[in-house]
Amino acid sequence: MTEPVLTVENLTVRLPMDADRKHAVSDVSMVLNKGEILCVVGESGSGKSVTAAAVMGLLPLESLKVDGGHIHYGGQDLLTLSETQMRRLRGKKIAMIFQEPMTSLNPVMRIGHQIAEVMEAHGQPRSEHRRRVVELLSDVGLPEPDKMVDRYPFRLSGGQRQRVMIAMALALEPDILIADEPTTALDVTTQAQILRLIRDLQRERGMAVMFITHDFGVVADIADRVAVMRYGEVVETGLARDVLNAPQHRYTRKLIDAVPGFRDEASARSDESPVLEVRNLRKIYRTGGGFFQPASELVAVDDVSFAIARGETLGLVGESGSGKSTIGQCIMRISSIDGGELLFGGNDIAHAQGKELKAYRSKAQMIFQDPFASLNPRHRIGKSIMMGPLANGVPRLEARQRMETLLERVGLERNSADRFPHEFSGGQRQRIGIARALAVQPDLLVADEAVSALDVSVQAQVLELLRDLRDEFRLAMLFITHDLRVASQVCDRVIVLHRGQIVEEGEVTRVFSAPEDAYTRSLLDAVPGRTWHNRPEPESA
Amino acid sequence: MTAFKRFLRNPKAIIGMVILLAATIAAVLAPVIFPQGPWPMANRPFLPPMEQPGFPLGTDMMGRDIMVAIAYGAQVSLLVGLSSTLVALLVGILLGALAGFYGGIVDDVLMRVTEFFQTIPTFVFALLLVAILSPSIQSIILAIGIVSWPPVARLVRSEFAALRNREFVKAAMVLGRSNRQIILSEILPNTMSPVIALASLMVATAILTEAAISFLGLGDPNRMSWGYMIGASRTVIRQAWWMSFFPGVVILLVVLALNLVGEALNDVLNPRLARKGRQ
Repeated sequence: MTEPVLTVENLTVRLPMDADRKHAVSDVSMVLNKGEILCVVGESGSGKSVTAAAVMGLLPLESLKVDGGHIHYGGQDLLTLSETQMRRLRGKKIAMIFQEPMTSLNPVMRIGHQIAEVMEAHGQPRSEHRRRVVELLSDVGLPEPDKMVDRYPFRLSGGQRQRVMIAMALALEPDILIADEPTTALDVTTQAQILRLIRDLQRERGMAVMFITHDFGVVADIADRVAVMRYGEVVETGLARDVLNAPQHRYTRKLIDAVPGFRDEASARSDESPVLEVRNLRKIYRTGGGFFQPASELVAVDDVSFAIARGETLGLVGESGSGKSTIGQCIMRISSIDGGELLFGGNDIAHAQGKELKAYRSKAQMIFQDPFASLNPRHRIGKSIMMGPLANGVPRLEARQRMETLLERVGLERNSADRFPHEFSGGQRQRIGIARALAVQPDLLVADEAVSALDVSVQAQVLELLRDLRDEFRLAMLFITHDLRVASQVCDRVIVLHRGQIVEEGEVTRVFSAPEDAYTRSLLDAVPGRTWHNRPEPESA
Repeated sequence: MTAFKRFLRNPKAIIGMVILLAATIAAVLAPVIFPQGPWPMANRPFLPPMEQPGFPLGTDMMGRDIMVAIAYGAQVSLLVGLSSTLVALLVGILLGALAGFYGGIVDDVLMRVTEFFQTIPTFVFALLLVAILSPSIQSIILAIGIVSWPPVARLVRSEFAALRNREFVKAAMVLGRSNRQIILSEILPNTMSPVIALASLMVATAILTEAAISFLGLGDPNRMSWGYMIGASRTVIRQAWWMSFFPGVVILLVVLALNLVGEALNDVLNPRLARKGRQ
């Protein structure tokens, strides 16, 4: 059974001169055996994708150069092959699927044609193409494969496109499939289906799969063996259950501890009066339409009501398109509403303007998802943080003081105020975003996917900070997330949204341990590594 | 490396900047070196170039020194090029920013107006404006400015439309900053790179347009300009080629220099755009 098909030996890839470290990967060795799934796991910048690109011969020639090592496959060293020889292997023997299904298909080509192209490139008889394509599409579980062949990518959902990508990768029955974060851009339920599909196809065909991911839950679900990477080096390899349940290396242990699991102890009911009360909120998106044709309508939020008390965190969870972010934007008055009331301290601020709106702005703040897009690249961060207080008429001296105390409070140095956003890491930028929101001393804080773009270890720290700050400033917090594990960590109560409607609401441990609604249950079942998360805590940790 | 340093290392930028610097020096120092001005008779008419010391480029049909005329012509060309671009930038940025930021009806109205201006052939429109306003340097500047703002407006609008949905703009909104502050201090500085690159090319176009207007005899009658020189000498081009040749070469060089600088700016300020298609 353990017959190696691909061996990476002492692979070293150099980074350009001005990078922050010398090698993208250094001295990496790993073995991929026949018929197994090897998960390469690590945080961003750990070199896991570079390793995969090196195997495929897809390194950008100008910036990344292989410095040494070997990649053995079928008796030859892939690193010494010419581009023509490599092209013959690619697709036929070693295939790859990517993270972003939305952009990896050609939008103006029919799906069947795109898959047939791979076959044509490797010289399969044209007469068989269509039959094979239909077969492949049904193998990857797409509905109505004979009609799907003639569709254009825009008519498919993200999950369906990823299935098409997998069909394309399997078209020539490769020995090895390399999957670079193939489910990261997908919703949990879709992710669970794709993971199952990859697992089933791998079993059926006896392929070897190199699966790159940052999510230990996914590892728990799919991996036979694991290689953990950090700063371009492999720190630990081993059987999945050994690494997951008894990690040897300190870094692996730290990473696994940082993975959010489900919380057991219920949170106390808050008996304070609500800071924000949302009543029958409705939001409709209208698109298209012109002089003679009516616009098409999409009800994004449908009759949603809830309240948040001081010192309480309310979670809004759901998949993409469930309306959770729209609710946050409506509450922040970035988006207009089509019905309902937003009671803040007893006043309806849904249509407030001028002075009234400005007063509300100084009491309600928001933290955004993307730490790279949420800070103005041309402003020093001190200026960004002081902007809020200054806009609300706080004297400059006091604004400066607040900025400096907050910088320290969120774990940055006072003198970082004069630096620009690009000088900080993602986690640091998110801390700056938090400081900026708190600088106006708000009562309500809306966090829209505030930790989704961060690595797990950073994520854990930022969650910790948010929890502390909530208690310190007695904030009412609305925490919007797609990740049930994160919600379970930070929220007191949680609302599950599906297509703009509330399907379930309640205390967080109750909802996640004994869901009443079928949709909540399907969401929970789809959480990667569910059984592993519910394991008893290892004694050493 | 800062953008400015990279700009200075670009060979295109160096060649362009040297030519432009020469033109600027000629324009600024013309009244000092040639205090008599471009109009008085300096030698016999139709003096060919390099025939008499002190007249390397020869004289025209009235005996005026062509070298002096070219130096004074640089004043008009640079003045018209820069001022009319400034006018176009002011109008274009204002309308583009409003359309891109507010969207909806404001966007519809402003963009229809922009399209209206774009449908009229620019040169004919500029000529018409100069004729109506009576030929003078101010009317030429205004006319060229009015016909060349639409591309700026469209560019700024698309940049604004993309940036206004970025999270840092939403954050500024949530923090209670006014729309004016958000437009001026949050979004506008982030749109400047492509606008600067575009502006340098617009200066080149404006200089060409001014030359063409003067060529047709609608230039400012009180100022010597390169276009006027070519226009006046076109009837004698077979007897005295140098009268139209030298101003033509100067126009070519200055426009080329501006294009080189514009391209270099584009390489430096929009590196992703510039690199596209090269690999």
